[in-house]
Amino acid sequence: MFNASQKPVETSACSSNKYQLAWKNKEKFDAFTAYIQTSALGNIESRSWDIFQLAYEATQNSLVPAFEKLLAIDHTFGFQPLPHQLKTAQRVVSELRGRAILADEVGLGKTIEAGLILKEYLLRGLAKKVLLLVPTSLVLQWTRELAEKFRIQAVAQRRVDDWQADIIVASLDTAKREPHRSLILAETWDMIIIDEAHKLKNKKTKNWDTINRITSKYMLLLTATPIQNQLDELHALITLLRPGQLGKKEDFFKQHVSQKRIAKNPAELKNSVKEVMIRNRREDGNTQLPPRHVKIWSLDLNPQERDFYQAVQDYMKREYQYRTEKHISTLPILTLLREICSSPYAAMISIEKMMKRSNTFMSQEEAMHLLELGGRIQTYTKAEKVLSLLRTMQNSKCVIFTEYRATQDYLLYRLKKEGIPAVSFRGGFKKSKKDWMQDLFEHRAQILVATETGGEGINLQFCNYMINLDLPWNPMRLEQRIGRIHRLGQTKPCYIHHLTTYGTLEEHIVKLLHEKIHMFQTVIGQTDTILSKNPQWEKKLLEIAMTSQNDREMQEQLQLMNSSIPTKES
Amino acid sequence: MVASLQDLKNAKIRLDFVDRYFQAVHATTLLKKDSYREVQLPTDVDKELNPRPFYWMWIETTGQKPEPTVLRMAFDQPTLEKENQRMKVEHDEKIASLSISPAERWMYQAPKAQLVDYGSFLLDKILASVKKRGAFAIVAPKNLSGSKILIPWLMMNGMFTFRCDMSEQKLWSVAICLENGQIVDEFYNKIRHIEMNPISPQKLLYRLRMSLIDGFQALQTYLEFLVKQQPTDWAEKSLARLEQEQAHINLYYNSLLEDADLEKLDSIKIEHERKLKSLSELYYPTIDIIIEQMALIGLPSS
Repeated sequence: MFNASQKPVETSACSSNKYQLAWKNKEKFDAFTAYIQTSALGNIESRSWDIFQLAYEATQNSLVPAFEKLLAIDHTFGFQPLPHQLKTAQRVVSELRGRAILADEVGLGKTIEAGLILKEYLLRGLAKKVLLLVPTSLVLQWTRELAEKFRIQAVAQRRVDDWQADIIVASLDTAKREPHRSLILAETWDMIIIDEAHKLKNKKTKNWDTINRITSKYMLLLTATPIQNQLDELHALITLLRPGQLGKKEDFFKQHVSQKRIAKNPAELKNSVKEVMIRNRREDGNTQLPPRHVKIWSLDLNPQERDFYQAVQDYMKREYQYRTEKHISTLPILTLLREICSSPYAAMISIEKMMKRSNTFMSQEEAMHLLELGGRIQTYTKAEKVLSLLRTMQNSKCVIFTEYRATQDYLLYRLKKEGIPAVSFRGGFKKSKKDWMQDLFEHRAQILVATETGGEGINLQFCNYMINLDLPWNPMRLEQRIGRIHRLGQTKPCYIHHLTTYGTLEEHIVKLLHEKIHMFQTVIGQTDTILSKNPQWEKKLLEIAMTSQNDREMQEQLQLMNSSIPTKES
Repeated sequence: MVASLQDLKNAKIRLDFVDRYFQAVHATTLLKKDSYREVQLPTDVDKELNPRPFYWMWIETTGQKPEPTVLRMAFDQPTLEKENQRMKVEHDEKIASLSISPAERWMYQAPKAQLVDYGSFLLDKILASVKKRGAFAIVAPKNLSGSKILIPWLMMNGMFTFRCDMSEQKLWSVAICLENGQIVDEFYNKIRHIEMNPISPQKLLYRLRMSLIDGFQALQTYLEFLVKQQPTDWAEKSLARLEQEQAHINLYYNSLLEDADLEKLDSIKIEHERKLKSLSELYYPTIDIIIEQMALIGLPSS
């Protein structure tokens, strides 16, 4: 009588062709006939109707309504999402249809937005198999936050068979390597979320290629910095989301790019970008962040430092020629100059290293000579400046960033000598050590000296002073640094000091930074003050550089201007 | 009581639901206060709510008598704090009355309550247990006057899921009379207010004129008919979007093909296919018919 093998076919295409019709859990019928048979044997549960009614209510309760507002709003725990986060999540789901770049400025909670969107799709049964690719150092943090804030149980990927999990958090570096890569590509994903997606800015990289090969319905790319250096980076990101949105690369260049960093039709480009990207800014008023004050200090190297810089520069010109002829990378020597600006100590360490390597033009004598010049330097201009700035901050907590480990070491040594309690922070630290250092800084130490690589993923909103001992080439990395203190949770105005040296390579860096920030603004929209606004200063600098007959004249002109710069000691 | 959508967010409704659940599964209520319950679990329920298979394996292989679990549940935050405080005070008093060393004291911890809020682990487990235990029933009205004949009905409850890049669900409840083949829509709402008792299936099955499988198939046909009555504008819109985006992608990849090197043609074509596949998974409209519950219900002939 209960012959279940006569079941009709499982799915049937709808005749109207407007949709596909699918039957789910028809096997319930078999289970039901089995239930009848056991009941017939006298196995009757006295309260079965009560629980049947409860089950009906449970189904009713889990029912997904048409989309009007986010269901996820009622599924956050221990925190209240901010209005701009809810609005963003809502727009991504209803207008951008789950494929978007979330490009909020650092510290506005992109993680929360992504969490809300993910939760919405999970609740609606639209996503099951989800891949999150985040920086290695943030894998555990993401997993923890999803569990705590959204009660989403994700697996932090460790072993090869972890890829079978429904929701998995892994690093991009792991994902692009075999055997992981093949396993990921073989899978059909419902959703993929990529944090720090600016790592996909270059189409020629393995990062980009791997992501481009993944099949996924929904895709979120999280980055505060969708453009770092060049406009085609934006093209690379958008092509992942919606191939063809900006046309072919060649057309894109014809239409939108007049120079590497200058957009042709900013308004038009902005509109195309808007269809796939949402960017919230601190200034929008939907977040009550205190203001930030940025000051650029233009410092003069002292005579000994200047001699050292000059000598290294002279040597560099020869080394550059040698390297170009031999087709050796010229990058290290450029680094050398920047290191002197940061701290002569850093440069001396590099020179020592170069001495030991054979593929350099530098002779032993020359190296010894340079090291001797460096050794003669009594005081380091920037380190002294740091100390005098710290005195004005009256024992407040302060983060000091530098690009170089040697500078970090030197500064820690210098601070220790002054009796100022300081801790260090680097990318190489394990998660536990990072947490520990962050905790030490919050509760014991006054100063945190960090290198760039350590900057991602630490939240220091309890501190409102920052000194950038040197500046990165990339303005968005500068923004990442500032975002460590100027983020949600910060209650006091933030004071940020950039230290630069005149008559050196750093001058050009500042100029370049300005140009890059300008490009970012024309395409993406305003950024908060990264460098203090001083257009006149920039214009003047350019003028001096273009009109000076020789270095000496330029030097004099710069000196003259130096004294008139409002950001100079006041 | 009729719970409607997402009502379990309300602490009172949640409490009522949980109460009814524990009653239905024969758990013993030890303590009942405002927004607070202490409940002792029977073993089968314990296994469902506390996933600890190794514990049970150990208990069963060693033939021990398990210590029954007591759940202490607070349904809002203030109650949680209040009850935890109460238990701590009671605990401290009890410990003070015992003559034990401080080290031993450390071994005894005051019991703690758990918060049963919407989305909590325990509530999710209870909902899963409810769905598992409440999938089937064979019942008839409790108060049958005289010896009326029971007519067998096959009822099926479930939902439609309308799905493209967004989703929406609707409940349905249909039943077929296994004597004359009559199909009634919205069946559950019509009988939900009748008090029911479980009965033996023999009391119904002897009267079947239509086999269960035939009834099941007739209901399927009816549900497919119901689906066709549903609005389709969402599906049309999604299809239009799909076509538009497909055209976009085709244009892009075809233009890539035009100036690509010969050896790259294949890889471009594969990528093109892959992107089209993602796109149609996102937008292609689907309707799922999901069966949640089945029941045999005997109703007196009118």
